[in-house]
Amino acid sequence: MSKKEGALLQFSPMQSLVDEGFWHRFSSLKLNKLGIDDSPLPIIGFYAPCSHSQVSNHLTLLAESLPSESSDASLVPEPSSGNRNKCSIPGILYNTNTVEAFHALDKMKLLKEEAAKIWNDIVTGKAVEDCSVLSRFLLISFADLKKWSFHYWFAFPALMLDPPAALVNLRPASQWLRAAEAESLSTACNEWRKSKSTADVPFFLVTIDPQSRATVRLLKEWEACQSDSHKVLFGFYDPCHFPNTPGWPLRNFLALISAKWNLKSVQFFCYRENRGFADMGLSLVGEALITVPEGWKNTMPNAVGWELNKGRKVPRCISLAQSMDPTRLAVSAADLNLKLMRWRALPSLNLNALSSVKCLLLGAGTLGCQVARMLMAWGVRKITLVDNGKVAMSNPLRQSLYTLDDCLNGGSFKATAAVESLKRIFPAVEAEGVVMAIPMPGHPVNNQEQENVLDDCRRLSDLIDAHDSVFLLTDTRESRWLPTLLCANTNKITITAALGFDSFLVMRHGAGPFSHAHGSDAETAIPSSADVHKIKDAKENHRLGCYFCNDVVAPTDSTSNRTLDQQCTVTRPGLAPIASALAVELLVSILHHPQGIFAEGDISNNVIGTSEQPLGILPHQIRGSLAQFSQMTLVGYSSPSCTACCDTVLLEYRNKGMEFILQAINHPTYLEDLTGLTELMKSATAFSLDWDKDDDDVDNDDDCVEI
Amino acid sequence: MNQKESERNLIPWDGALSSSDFFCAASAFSEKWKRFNPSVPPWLWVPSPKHHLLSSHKEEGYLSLEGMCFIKSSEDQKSCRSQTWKEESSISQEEEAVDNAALVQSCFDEVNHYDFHIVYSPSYRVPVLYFRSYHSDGQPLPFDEIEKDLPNHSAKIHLESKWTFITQEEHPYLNRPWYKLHPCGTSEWMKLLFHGDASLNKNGFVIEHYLVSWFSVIGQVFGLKIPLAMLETVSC
Repeated sequence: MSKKEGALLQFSPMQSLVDEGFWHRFSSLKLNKLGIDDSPLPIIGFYAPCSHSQVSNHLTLLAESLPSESSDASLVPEPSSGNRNKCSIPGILYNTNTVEAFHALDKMKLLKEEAAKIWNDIVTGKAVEDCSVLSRFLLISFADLKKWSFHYWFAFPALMLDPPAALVNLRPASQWLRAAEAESLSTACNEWRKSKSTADVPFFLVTIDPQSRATVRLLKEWEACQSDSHKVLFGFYDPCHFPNTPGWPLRNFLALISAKWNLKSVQFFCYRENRGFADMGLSLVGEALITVPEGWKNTMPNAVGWELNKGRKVPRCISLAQSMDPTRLAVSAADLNLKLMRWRALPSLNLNALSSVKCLLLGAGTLGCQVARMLMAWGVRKITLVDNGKVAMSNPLRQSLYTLDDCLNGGSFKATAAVESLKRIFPAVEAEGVVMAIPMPGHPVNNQEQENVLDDCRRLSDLIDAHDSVFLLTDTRESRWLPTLLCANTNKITITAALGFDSFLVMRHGAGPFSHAHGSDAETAIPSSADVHKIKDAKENHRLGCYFCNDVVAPTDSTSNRTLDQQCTVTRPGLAPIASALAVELLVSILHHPQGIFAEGDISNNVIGTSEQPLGILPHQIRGSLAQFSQMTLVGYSSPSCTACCDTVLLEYRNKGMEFILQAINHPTYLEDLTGLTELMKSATAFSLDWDKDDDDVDNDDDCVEI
Repeated sequence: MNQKESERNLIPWDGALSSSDFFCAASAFSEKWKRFNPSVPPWLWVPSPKHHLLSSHKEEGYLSLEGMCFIKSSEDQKSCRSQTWKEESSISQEEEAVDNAALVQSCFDEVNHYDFHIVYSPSYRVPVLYFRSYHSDGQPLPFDEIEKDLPNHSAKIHLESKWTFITQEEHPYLNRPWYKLHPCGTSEWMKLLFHGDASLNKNGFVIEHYLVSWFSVIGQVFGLKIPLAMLETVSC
């Protein structure tokens, strides 16, 4: 389709494309080499003739547009040469250090400076020698290296003809040329594009002799082209794909032609390709009329060229946080790991359950540190650690979240230091530390401390309410009592790990006495005493035991009056990691078991693969011995006299609340009396005196209580 | 038949190939591709020497196919990426000269650009397809947007398949996150393709056709088809 004579010649603006590699390299340069230096930086852009009928070629910036990062390299990028897909175009980058400075840049002044360089190259003749300077460009930017977002704006300076050029006609080259000419020109162009010395030269001359032979030449051969019988076309690599509009590079080309060679009528050739080969149907030939007055070239023309952003004269912004922010990269790597596991080995892996479960760790010592790490490895993100101690010098060796720095100046609080350590390992973890002591029975409190202790009790109760799963990882028996009671009361998944010198116990507590087994883990209403008996009979036999169910004495002060070696909990170092790992695996298994906390306790046998669950069996207790390098699974049921989880105790707690707790703390025999353990022991002692009684009498003896 | 080849014929093939074999396979593949698929951009070899102490051969690199354009139809376009910019940074009318010569564009086509790299994985000993997509301004596409570009049957295959698993990992040479088709299953289905026939190992037949066969499966995820002619067992 040809245009009418005298119409204004319009050009399709150049479009930019910044590969993310450019921003990666620039960020690196800024951080390692440039620092706050904001002097302009020479860069190289690349474009090529359009090779797609529907998509324009863009002026592209790649990583190699910037100078190399190595310390001895100069701050000038290496231009590529001879690459037919990348004509190197010189450009300049002004990057500011703040977004305010970015907005405050004098854009017109910068544009004028770059346009002046182009004009200067035209006037001095440099543009004829090295024509890529005709497409010189400008880039302003602000790289926000905290948010990994990049604000930027391109300008492609175009010298304005005044008055503007007029378009006489424009049509596909195949229509303007004769068939033989078109073929010859195609061949010549393909040759030009294949040769390393000319492949990336974006402006050229075309002469066609009367025998239809076309020749492609460099601009500097202009003198040699002067011949009446030859047709002369001014050719250029046209990045634009529009069938009715030539591309932006033609603007400065026309300025050159007018200023240097004083032509009024210019036949131009927009060279475009299809899949890498010259295409005369897509390429255009047109005629422009230049009507600038005499002396136009004596003064520098005006220039335009700021790139529009979807039609508006505003800058662009790109966010690369997803691929550059180290925290996000860590999160997606961690997720990938778990997803791979699910894909290849465990299709029923419930990643959502793991990432949403809220875990409370009571104790941030050898067990607590290891459990926290293992939980994170399974994708658990919400972890709260409770500990009132400070990191001591001997701790870092066995407590894997601490280093020497945490021990200095009296030592940081463990709960705080642990959380910081977890965040250093995996920034996306939602970890909290609570510095708090756990109230313990057998450690009486005087009146002044009473309120504080009750506060701690309430705080502990709130913490347990706010989490889904509780790990009891403290270093005394009695400190586990109150948490066990509170967990039994609210039916939370509770896992205990306890260490001896060379043996360990890892167990999950059974469900609380007032819970139903049908998926509901909400507390039921307080049953009447008649109902209690019914539930007791029905449930007591099936409810798995807690840490205290097997004890016949109430927890009491185990820390005073001990010898030194008894006070320091000494264990073989390998025990804590083993026990911690098992505790976490036990939790994961519970989370994947359809009955959850109500699941029966399995016992391992030597036949592999008999379990129905994909993760294997779900034991109740695991007891291991390093002396034997052995481990066994056990099941224990709840005791009706348990000082921590039996319904008598829980009812008392529900009725009397903190008053009950305080009594248990201050009076060690209170729990034993309450649960009937006192009675039990009396009868046991009584029983041992009657050795001579007949066996029959044993069965009839009312004093004997079934355990 | 030299000794190495005769040895090869005895060992049942495991579906994998060595690094130097990959280079041969890559050359054969890109050459055939250019010959039979001229309407599509060619696969180019990008040499990338890594400074390994163990690396003994020079031909390290990967195959690259860049600049595949996927043009979104106008119904699919949603300018969810529109920026709301305050006018702090705009240029007022008086400043820049009035320029009637610049064509004002009213319709903005959304084009998704795709780059594909075929990179050898030394730990799995198979080729791996890495890919990424970005808009015309360079903004990378997240995977859920890429999925919309995949042919319909491919999205279904992806969800159900035990052979294909798309992950995002660091590109081994470019050190930026790219998407890739995880290579765990590759050697197994490559073995199936060649029917585990060790006799096909004669004269390096497997190596020459490895990438062609491999791509005939992998390419389907993206709707990239191999012309039938390429699959013909023409001895070169």
